[in-house]
Amino acid sequence: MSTRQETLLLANSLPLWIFCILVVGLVFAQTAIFLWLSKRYAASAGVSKTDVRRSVKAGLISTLGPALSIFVVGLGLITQIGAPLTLSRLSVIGNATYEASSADKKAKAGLILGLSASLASFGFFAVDYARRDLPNLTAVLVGFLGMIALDYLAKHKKAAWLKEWALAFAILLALAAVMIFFGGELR
Amino acid sequence: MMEESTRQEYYQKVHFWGRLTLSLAIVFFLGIGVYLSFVRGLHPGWEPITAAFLAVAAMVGHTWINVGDQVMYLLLMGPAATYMAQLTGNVKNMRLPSAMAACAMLDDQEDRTKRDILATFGVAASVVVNTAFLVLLVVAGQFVLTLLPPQMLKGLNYIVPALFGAIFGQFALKNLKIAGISMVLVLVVINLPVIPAPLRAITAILLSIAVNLMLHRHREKNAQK
Repeated sequence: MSTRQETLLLANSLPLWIFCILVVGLVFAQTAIFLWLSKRYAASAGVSKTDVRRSVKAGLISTLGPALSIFVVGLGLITQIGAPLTLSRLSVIGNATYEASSADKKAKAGLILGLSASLASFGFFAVDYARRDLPNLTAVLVGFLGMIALDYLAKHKKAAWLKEWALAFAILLALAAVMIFFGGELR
Repeated sequence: MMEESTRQEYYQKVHFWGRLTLSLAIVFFLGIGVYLSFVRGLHPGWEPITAAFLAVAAMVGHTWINVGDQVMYLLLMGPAATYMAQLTGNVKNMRLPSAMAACAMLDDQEDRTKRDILATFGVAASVVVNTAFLVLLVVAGQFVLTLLPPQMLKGLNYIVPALFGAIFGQFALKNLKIAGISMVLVLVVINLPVIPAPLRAITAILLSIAVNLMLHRHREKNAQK
C-alpha cells in the first residue's frame, strides 16, 4: 500500500468519523439551543409567528447559492483528506478565502498585511504544485486565468451569482483542461 | 416594550450556551490532533506543527484579534447569531446576509432584542441548510466517486493545485502590484536551497508582508512631500 492510500484509510476510519459526528452534532445542538431560547423569549420581545416564518425563509434563501457553490471544492477535498475531515472542516469555520477576506474593512496597512500574507501563502502552494509536472502546472495556470476571466465577466455583466460561482467554475475549467490535455497519461 | 429583567435573563442564557458550545468545539477539534498524535502514535514532531501553525497564523491570524468585526457582528445580529456565526464560519457570505435578510422588515427604531431574535432565526435557518448540504455532499460524494471512471478520478487529484491557482487569482484581483511582488518573492524563496524546505512557506509569507508594508510606507512618505 502506498503512503497516500494508508493516509486515506486512516482519514476515513471509524475514530475520525466519531470526531466528525461530534463536531457536526455540536453545530446542530448549538442551533437547536438558540432556536429554543429564541422561541421561549419571542413572545415577550414582541416577535409574532409570522415574523418567525418570514425570517426563517429569508435566512434560508440567502444561503442557498453560496452553500451549493461549495460542492465542487468539497468533492475535491474528499479525495484528498477523506470524508470525515472534509465534513468537519467545512461545517465549522467555513472556508478560508471568506475568512481571509475580512481584511476588507480595515485600515490600509492592515489590509496590505492580510493581502500580502494570503497572496504569498496561496502563491507559494500554487508554485509548489506547478513545478512538479505539466498537468499540475496546467491546473494551477488554468485555475488562475479562469478565476480572473470569470471575475471580469461577472463585473462586466454585473452578475452577482457568477461571482459566487467563479471559484467552482474556475476549478472545473482547470480539471477539464488537465483531462483534455493529459487524459491518457495521468498517473 | 420588553421587561428589563426578562431581557437580561435572555442574554445571560445566550452567553452561557454560546461560551459552552464554543469551548466544546475547541476541545473536539484539538481532540482529532491529540488522538492521532498520542493514541495512534502518529505525532509528526513539533517542527512541522509549528511551521504549519505559523503559516496559518500569518494568513488568517489578523481575524483572531479583529475586535472591529466582532463588534460589527454583535451590533448587526446580536450575541446568539454571532456565536453561531463564530462556530460555523462563512460569516460574510452566508450568516451576515441571512441575518440582514431576516431583519429586513424592521426599522431602526425597533427593539434590540426583537431584532436579535429574528436574526437568530435567520442564521439558524442558514446553518441548518448549509450543514445539511455538507452532510449530503459527503454521503452522496463518496457514492459519486465510486461511480466515476478511474480516468476522471485521477483528474480529481488536480483539484487542489487548481484551487490554489484560482484563490491566488481571486486575491490578485484585489491588488495586482502586491500580487506581482509576492509572486516574485515566492519564486525566489522556493528556489533557495539555503532555507530548509519546511520553513520556505513561512519565509515567503513573512518576507512578502515585510516588503509590501515597506513599499507602502515608502509611497506614503513620498506622497506627503
